[in-house]
Amino acid sequence: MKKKCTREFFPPGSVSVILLRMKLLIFFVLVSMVTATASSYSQQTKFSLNLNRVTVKQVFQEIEANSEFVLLYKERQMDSNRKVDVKVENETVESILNQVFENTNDTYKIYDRQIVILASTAKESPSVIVSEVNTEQKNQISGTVKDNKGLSIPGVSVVVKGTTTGTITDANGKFMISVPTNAKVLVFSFVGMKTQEFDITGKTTFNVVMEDEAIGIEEVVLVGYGTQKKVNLTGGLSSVSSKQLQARPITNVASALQGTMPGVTVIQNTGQPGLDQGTIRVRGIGTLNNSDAMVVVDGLVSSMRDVNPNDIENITVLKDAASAAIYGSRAANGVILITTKKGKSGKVVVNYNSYYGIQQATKLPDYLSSSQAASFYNEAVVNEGQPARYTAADIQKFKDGSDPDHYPNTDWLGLFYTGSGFQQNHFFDVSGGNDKTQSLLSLGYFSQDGIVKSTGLDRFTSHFKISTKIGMHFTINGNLTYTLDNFKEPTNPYTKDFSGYFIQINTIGANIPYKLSNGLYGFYQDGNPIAWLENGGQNTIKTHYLKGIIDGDMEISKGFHFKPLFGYLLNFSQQKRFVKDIQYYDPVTKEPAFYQGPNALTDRDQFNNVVTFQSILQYDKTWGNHDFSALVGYSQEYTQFSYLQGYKKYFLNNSLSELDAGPLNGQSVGGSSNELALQSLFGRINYSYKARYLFEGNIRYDGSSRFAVDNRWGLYPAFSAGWRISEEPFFDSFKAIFKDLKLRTSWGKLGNQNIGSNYPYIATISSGINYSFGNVIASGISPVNGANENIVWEETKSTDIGIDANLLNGKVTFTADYFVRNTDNILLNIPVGSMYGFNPPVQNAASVKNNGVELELGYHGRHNDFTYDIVANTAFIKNEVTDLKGTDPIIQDYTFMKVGYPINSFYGYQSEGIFQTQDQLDNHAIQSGGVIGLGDIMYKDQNNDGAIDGADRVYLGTYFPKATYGANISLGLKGFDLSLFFQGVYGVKGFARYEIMGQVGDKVGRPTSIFIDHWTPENPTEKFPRLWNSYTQNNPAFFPSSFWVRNADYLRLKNVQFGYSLPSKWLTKVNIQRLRIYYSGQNVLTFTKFYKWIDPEVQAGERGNTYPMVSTNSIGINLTF
Amino acid sequence: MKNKIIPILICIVVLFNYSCSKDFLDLQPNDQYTESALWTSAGDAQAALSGCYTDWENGWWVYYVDCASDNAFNPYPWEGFTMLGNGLLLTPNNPGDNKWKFTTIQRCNWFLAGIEKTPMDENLKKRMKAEARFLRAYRYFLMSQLYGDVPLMTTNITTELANSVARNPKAEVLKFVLDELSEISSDLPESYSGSDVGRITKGAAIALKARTELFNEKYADCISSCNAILGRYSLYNSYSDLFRPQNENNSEIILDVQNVETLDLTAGWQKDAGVMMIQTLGGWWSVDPSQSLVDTYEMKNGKTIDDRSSGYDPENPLKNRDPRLDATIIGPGSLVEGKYFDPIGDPSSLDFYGPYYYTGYADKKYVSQVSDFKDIWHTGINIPIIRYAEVLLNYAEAKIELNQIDNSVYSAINEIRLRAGMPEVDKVIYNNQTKMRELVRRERRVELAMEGLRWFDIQRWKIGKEVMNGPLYGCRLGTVDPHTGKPTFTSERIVSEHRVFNESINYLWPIPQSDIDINKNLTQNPGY
Repeated sequence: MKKKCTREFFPPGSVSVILLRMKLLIFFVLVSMVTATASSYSQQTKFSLNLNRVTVKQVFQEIEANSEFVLLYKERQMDSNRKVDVKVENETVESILNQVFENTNDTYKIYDRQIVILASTAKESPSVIVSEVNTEQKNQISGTVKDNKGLSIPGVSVVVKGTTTGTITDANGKFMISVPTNAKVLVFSFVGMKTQEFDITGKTTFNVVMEDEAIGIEEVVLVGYGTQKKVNLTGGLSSVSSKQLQARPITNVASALQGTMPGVTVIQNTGQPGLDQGTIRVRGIGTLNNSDAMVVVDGLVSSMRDVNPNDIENITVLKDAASAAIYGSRAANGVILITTKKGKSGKVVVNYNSYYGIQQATKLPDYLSSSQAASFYNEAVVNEGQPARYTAADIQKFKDGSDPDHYPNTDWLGLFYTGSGFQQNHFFDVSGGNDKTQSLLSLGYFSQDGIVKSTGLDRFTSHFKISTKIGMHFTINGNLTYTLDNFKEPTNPYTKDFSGYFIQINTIGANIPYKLSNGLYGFYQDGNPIAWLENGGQNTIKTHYLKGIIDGDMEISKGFHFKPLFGYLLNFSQQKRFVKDIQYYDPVTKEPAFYQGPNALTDRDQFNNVVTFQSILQYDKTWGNHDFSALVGYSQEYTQFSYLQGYKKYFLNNSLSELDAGPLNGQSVGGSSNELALQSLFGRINYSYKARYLFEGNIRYDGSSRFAVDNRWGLYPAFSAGWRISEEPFFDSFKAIFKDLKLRTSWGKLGNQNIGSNYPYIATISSGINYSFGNVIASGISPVNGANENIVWEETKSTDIGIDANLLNGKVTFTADYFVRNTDNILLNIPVGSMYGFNPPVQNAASVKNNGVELELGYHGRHNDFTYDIVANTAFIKNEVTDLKGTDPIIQDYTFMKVGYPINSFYGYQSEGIFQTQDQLDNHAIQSGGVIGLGDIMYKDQNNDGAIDGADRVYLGTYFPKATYGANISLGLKGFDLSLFFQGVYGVKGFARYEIMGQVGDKVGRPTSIFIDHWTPENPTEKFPRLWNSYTQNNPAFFPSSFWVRNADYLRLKNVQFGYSLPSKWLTKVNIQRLRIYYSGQNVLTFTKFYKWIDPEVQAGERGNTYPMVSTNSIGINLTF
Repeated sequence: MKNKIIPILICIVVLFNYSCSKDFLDLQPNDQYTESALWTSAGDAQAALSGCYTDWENGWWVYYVDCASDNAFNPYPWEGFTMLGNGLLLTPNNPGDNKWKFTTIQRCNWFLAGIEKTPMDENLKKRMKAEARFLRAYRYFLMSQLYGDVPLMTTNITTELANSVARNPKAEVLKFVLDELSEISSDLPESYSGSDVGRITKGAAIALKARTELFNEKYADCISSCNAILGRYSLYNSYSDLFRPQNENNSEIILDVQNVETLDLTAGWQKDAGVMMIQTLGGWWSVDPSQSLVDTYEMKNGKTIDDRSSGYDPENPLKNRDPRLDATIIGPGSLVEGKYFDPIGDPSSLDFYGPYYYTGYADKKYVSQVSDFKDIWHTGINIPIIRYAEVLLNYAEAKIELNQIDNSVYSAINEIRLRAGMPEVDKVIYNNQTKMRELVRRERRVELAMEGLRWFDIQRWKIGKEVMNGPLYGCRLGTVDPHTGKPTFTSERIVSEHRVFNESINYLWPIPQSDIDINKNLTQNPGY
């Protein structure tokens, strides 16, 4: 790991090397602080060495190479070329040093990872007297350095500010230094401690107290095109480190982020292997178009799909305009920066992580039995004036199962969800290097079998990273990732796809037999979904993701860097969709009856590549109290997409699934390609005074091929400022409580070019609008989509005010933000009257405002061996459409958009209850949908025109939650760790209809338990209307109403994890640094007021025709050598 | 210092020279033509015209729309025609196959503007313009019949206009349709050959004009239009084989939707004939003929079934009937693919009339032989829109309405009856306007059953209250002998649904709510 070789800590006559090394050392150790444990490193780290006749220096090198220890000594005072023998077997560094210094008077002192060698010849502390200053007049300064507990610290570097003159403290923390008479300030620095400056004017002896560097304060976080100290941040962002992501058996990056950051919402709609990525919304829905956040992996715009969660070092989400503006035109919906792990110099580290898990559906519809469904069906048709379909004897037969061929009670869900749901993950990485070159190699294998047979995903990932320093001023980094996804799902001969299964499985009646006693499949007019599944037919997609990045860092002069980057992204997929035909047989005569087909094969190869070039000039400079840095860059991106597809049908049978095996009759071929380009200039300046007043400005100038020449370029500026109140002199008295307190504010403008269409400004004429004359296909063309050449960028202006506080010595952290985000010129397919004739063009037509508050509160503590961390976050976001250019309301099915309401709110009729008396019925406005009777839902006549029609629809709530919250609780005791992660939403509505809510029907449509307590004259309930079959007045699909819009708040124990790390004294014997075993449960518990069989995370209004959400129970190990 | 300036300059040059490639952002679609690259030759115009033909009319419309009449019942409400049949549709949102649709009209408008600037043979240009004008006129005809007033547009319009345009009075739209059809008929040829078969002919323009005139009670005009094509087409020799794929483009077809099996291959299904088939054959059985339609067919001897001397046997209702009944409809005991169709016996059979209360009758027209098709969802079968038989009936009806009942009227009707295997009209019984009106209306219903015209007839004859109010009956319940096909009926009859017809509302269909929501100037039809 972070390792700095200090073969000669004090080369004669030069302190600058020391300082450089100390700087690096500090940096590395700071990075490591996150993972550093409180227990003594020197006791935990074991060595096995067998060295004969080697120099002391070589022993030291060996120690450093195999550990994180740094040895500090003064070559002049110690004979480092003395030959010694060392033999240790799983022993601590002390055993080695004892052997080395045996029979000498030299001693050593261990301070965490630093070992200071105290030569016996030294009368004073190690120091450096630089020869050229000998001619000047000197002052002798001496003193002691202690920590805040009063213990002396050896090895602290003491340097005269602005010079290379310096020394380090001795074993007792004492130092003595000769300084020029004009020297004013000494700088004291030590790993893990805050660097201190001390005014020595007029002093000769004094004591210095070093303070611990609180974890987090000096944390370096990712920002656009670089990094920044967290304390100096002025924009709104959140980050999670690998530690928080580690070892949670998540299948993808998005679900890892869920609930970990305020204002970052992850919506997951399906648990299907390979399709469970979820979507990420940063601070609400900013646009009506693609609201997905931009993803940057290792500096390259790409997707989260091609990153193995195990490879991730850090994820940072840039939430406000100030932090995201440097990404300009694609940053309006937030930016997710991901960095992957890289090699560190020093000892080779090997990690192996693995888990095995079983998935189960979180919720499945609780459909009623065939006998209940039959009696409900009778009731529904009788309500509509039809004779009952089933006799009491029929219903009895359904109930007792005496004639399963004719009166079955088929458990279709039970037959369908029979996949093993087994998943496993193996991840292996090895990293290491020296001070010139560091590298890391990782390999991953992930496999997930679905809870439906023949669904699944296999994923192989590999990642190689290397960093090499060429000469003193040039570093080159290589980064290569290759991922192979093998995705599979069944097809069917009816709808051809997999999603068609869910419609069938949720509608087919329990009164249809799966298989008859003679072994033949039962079927109805849509077939038999289990027969399809057993018959086979697969859609397989093999996707290759390749990503290569080469970047460099050239230090042209001090503080002045040139950083070019070249990236290539390739995404190639091969899809093969084979649909098998199926013949059903008459159950009695066994003659062929119903046929579903024909069999058919679609082969599709798709190719997508992105070539990125980027270069950055960066300059950092410090004068006295002024810190200044500037960055200017250029980037361009070229995207190309193409596909080629072939189709054949009428294969002789279902055994072959290659195109060449199919007949020519009925074949077709297709293919296309398109291109996109983006060009950008960007820049940033940072200035801070005394690290107290912070200022940052960002600008980006973007050009996109998606717009007409005149509207092509957009300029995106952002400014932010921060005030670290805690650094003010007047704040000193509060320092005991507030370690750090910062106010920050920002304003910025961002763009969005992600508008769905590649060439919205060009009026295009599509081909393939064909017709046939005389049985010959005539190729036709026609405009399909209207164009709008005036189209311009979407613009988001965002303002943020925030406060960051660090209290009680880092025990409590607090962050709060208030933001307002206005998006204008939203590109919208405003519904256009059908008289237009074509698909309406997008127009810059809407404005949306999101404003809200985000809070995060953390508490980190320990009590002896007991450690506990609690981090809770919440966000209150209000979403409102502010302008629709007079086109509102825009109504789409059961949602609408209207100024003053949230985007796509529920829209429908207001229920006034259920008709209970004839009087109510007679005096109510006329309703439609069927013959209205008692037990029907009463809709409110909003405009009092005596009829219920489209004009009576009103706002019924929003599926966008008022508040989202999450809490992470981590507890540790000795080797045990327990973490609980809760996540929830508040103030959200849900709407279910069709299959997921259930339907009364005979062979099609199945009632759920909600239907039980329905209205009858004997049971005049208000809970559920009377049953219907073909009438639509109570059907939520035809009459969306407040009766069906329900509270969908939920609280979910998203993850629970319990782990145990084996004691190192056992592990060292087998050369293992760390071994942890754990249990993890994902989606373990859910509390919701929504329908009890519907997963509340599944988006509102869904019909439930999707693969269900899953809960996963896993066990795993983390192993480090 | 000097040695540092050079690398800095290099970096700056490297940094910014990429932006110099000016056309980096100038990308054009690779797979789509742009307006500026089009209209260079007759070939471009031909392709654009083919685009206008796409979906100008489709099979589902023709199959399904009889469910909005007394001919049939649509058992699945979600398919959208049930509510058009039973009158329960009050809050409308695109019921059925939405015909309030301007895609074909605007494609034609686009084509007509573009072809003007195309350098090509002027005669060909004239003909092609006439084809597009026909397609546009057809859509306006259809919409004005279904919805009444319709916005009339003869050029592409902006989105703003599309959101504010108002409806033109029906009379104005009709005048446009008739004027257009008159004007273009001289530009169109009598017929086509080879891979042009199926294009709009002169006959199609005149026949559509005749239909439009009849539908709008312009009887004299209708007669003269019909006269222009009478004798120029001839009835195909077999009624039952008329709709089979091997007999496409026969002498009786004046206008049809041309289909080919390989068109639109990757779609799950085309809007194809599977909806007509019974479920044991893999179809949906979505269009269920009604008892009232079955009863309309005469006996083979030319007598109606309510005539005591007709020989009608209520216990064997499908026996000895007009052969067109057997060519159009199957019922209990009909032989289908070697088996006797039984919708009433075994509740566990797929053919059973429940649970949707199918009428117990199913369709045979278009799908008489399953072996004609490899895949019933990709049949490639052409859909006749105007047959010569309709022209004959249009002529007869117009003449009868004007009380000009001469021999030409009888011979027009007889031509149809004789082809179907029925005796000539009994001039003794059918000897006055009233009886002739009754005859021609029955003949029309029977001959054109399941061809999508019945609703228009109900609408113009104003018989909705009479025929579309009350229960919709299916066949009687009972059993079918699986060996002989002989049905044994009980007295109980299937009631598929109860219909309501409100004369002040239901003669016009509602404008889709989605358009009313957008366009404040668009009025809704009364009662919706």
